[in-house]
Amino acid sequence: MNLENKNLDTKSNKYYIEIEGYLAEVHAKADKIIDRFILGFFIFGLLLAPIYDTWTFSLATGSLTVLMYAMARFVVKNKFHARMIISLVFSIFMLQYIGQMHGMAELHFLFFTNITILIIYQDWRVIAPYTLAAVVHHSVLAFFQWYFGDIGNLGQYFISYSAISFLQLGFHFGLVGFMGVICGWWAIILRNNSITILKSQLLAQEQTEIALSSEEEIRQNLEELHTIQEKLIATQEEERKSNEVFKALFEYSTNPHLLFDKRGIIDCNNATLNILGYSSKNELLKIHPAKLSPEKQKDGQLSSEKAMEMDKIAREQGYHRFEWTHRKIDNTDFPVEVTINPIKLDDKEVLLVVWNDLTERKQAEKEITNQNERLLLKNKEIAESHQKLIASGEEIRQNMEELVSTQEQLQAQYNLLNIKNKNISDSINYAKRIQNALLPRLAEIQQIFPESFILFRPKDVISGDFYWFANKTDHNLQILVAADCTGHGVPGAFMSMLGSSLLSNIIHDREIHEPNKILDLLHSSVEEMLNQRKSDNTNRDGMDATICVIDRNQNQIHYAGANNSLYVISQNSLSFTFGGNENTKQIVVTEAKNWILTELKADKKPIGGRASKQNDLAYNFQTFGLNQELRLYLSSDGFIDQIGGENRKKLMSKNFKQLLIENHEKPYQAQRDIFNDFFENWISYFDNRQLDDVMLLGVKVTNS
Amino acid sequence: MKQFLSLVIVILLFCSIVFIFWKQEWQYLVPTPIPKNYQAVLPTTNLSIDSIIKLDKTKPVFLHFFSPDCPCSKYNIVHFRYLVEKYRNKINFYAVLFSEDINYTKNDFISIYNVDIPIIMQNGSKIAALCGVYATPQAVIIKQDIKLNNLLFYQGNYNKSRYCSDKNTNFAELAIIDLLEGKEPPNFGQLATRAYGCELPENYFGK
Repeated sequence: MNLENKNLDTKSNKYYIEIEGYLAEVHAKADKIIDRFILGFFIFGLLLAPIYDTWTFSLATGSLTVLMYAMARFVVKNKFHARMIISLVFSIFMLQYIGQMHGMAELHFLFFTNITILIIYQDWRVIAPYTLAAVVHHSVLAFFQWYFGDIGNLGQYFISYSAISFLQLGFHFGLVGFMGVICGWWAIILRNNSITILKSQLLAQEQTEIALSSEEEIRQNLEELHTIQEKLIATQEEERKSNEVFKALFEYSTNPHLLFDKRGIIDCNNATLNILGYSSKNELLKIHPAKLSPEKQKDGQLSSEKAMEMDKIAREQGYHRFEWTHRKIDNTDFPVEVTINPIKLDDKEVLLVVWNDLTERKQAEKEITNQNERLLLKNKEIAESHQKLIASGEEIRQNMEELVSTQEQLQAQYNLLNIKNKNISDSINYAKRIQNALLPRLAEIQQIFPESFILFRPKDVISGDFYWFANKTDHNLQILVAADCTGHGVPGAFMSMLGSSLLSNIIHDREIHEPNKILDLLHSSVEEMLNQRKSDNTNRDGMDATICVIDRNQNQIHYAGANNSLYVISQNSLSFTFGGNENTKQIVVTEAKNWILTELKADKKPIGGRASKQNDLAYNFQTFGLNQELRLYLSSDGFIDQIGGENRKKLMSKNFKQLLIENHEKPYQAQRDIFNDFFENWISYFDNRQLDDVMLLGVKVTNS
Repeated sequence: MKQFLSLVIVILLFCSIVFIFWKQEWQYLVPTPIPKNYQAVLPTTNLSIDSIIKLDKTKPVFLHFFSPDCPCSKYNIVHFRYLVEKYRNKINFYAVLFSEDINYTKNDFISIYNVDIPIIMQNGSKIAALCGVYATPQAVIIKQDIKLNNLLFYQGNYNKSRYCSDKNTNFAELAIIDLLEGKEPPNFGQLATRAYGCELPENYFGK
């Protein structure tokens, strides 16, 4: 291979490495193909063995030859040596087959097939050992045949020939050699072609890369060119816009703009024509600049001289601004602020003159001066008003001081009121203690009526409601009274004190025990004590009351009421024995379950405080037998008339009776708590506002 | 070093292959060495073969000296079958067997040659020495004369070529033809009488 490379390329050749790699690939591929042929050869030898029973020969020779090939292929690193050995292996296989087939002439054709296979290495040198082996082999045999032959020891070196001529040998060697040369030549051509193709490919690849590189360069140049073009267009566009802006600024500016050169006005805008009163630009351009100004300026300097002076300053400083008086076409003068800028236009130096009309500004300045004067006047007026305000402020301050003084007095009075209120509260609390002392104790009542309760809820600290109890043992009767005095609080309490003491007087001192009579006397006593019978007395205070007299001797209960009913719950209907007037059958019976609630309605007349004649009528009474267990409930109207519940309405008699029916069987102390809780819940819907004193007295009366 | 060793191994392998070729092929290119004390037996010699083995002498007898272990003995199998097929009506064929394999049977012979002939399994070396045979394969033709003498008619190679590929030198067949035609024993020269092939396992010459 090195030899080949020297012919084709030198190591300095840039294709050298590529070709080396390529040929290595060719040889690797050839090796793989030859592997298969070697395996085929071995198998072919075995296939021939049965013909002449050459198993030993084919197995031994074939195996060793394959081993030799394996050594060359995988162990010998020098590829040239390896290929020489492989070439020899091909020769050995050919000889093996000829031997196995007893020299069959056809088997000699293998020489040509095998040598053709070897071309695949694309290396002429591989052909050489193979060809040489055949030539040497036959040469040796021919020598032996010639040297020993029939004369010598009768050797039979050529199977089909008893002797071999030089002509035969010449053809033999000639054809073998010719085949070897042809195959070697083909190998060289094949190799060169491969290399040429590879080189072409490499060249094409290189050219493609160059082309690609050039293309990239061209593309970059184009991009650069494109960028430059874009920039140029952008610059041109900018310039165009700039010119347009300048033109627009010049043409459409509301300020007059003029261009001057040494000869005079060369251009102006519409604002200039407007302010000067010219109809066209041509008309103005013909005018000499001197005609646009009065002869003299305000400072008395000649306009022509001053104009030259101003131009000079502008050229020297690059910019100049000053005030000037111009003259319109109608010869009216007007003030302007002139700005002169020397600029380059088409490489010529011209003056850009801009006028700023000061007419309005001047007028405005004048207006401001006038307004300032008016403001001064106003300020003076304000100062005067201010003085007046200071005087008013002093007055307000004095009023404030008075107010503070009044507030202090109020605070003192408030404190005094607090003290008085406290005193009053203390008094009332003390009055409560007195009232509590006067009221019978529950324990006292429970001695007679073990099952009983009293719900006593004054609206204020002290109550207008009161209950009264007397156990007249000498007459074997008990008297229960529940009374509700007019008003509540202190006045109510006074009345209750009065009522309580009058009851004591009537029942204990005068020993009157009929309930209607008690009420009659109570009424007359109240009227008397409060002087209500006198025509000039407007006092209408009094009380409502329920009186029950439990007569143990007759086993009866007598009842009389002033406005307040008595509620009796029994299992059987009450057995009434009516007394007094006929109109006393004021009985309402409600039945529930096994119980009957009987409301004994009172006479509709209060104790005391009456104005009409009906007051003189006596109270009625009702009597019913104590022949069964009775549950009596005496109440003021505080419970029934209390507003509350979800609908914020009065509780009413109906609901009160329902409450009694539902709870009368419960223990009496529990009943008190139930009625109290019910009442508290009821008034919770009415902002916990209790409207009147509440009193409820419940007793169970048995006939024992 | 490794390369050197591998080349040495390759050379050793090559030498082994050459050796196998020698053993299997090339040694038979030259005549078999003549054993010690060999005494050539000439044609027309009266052979006292009856003392060794009884042969059917109603027809001339053809003895085929054969060794299954000898590669050379296998070379002429096709030719020998041809002879049997062609002349079995006129000649009694026998195979004289020399085998180191004691299990070798008649059937083994038949399976290889595909001919059904009697096989002489014993005293092969004695018969060979009597006939002047010292190699396999060899052909011997015995003709009985009027006096019932067992005359050697031909002893030698089947062909000049070890593969019997030269029709002009089918010496055994030519001898049969001469025999059947009533001719004198032929003299084909040394190419026919110098044996090619394997030596016999036992040398009975001089015993």
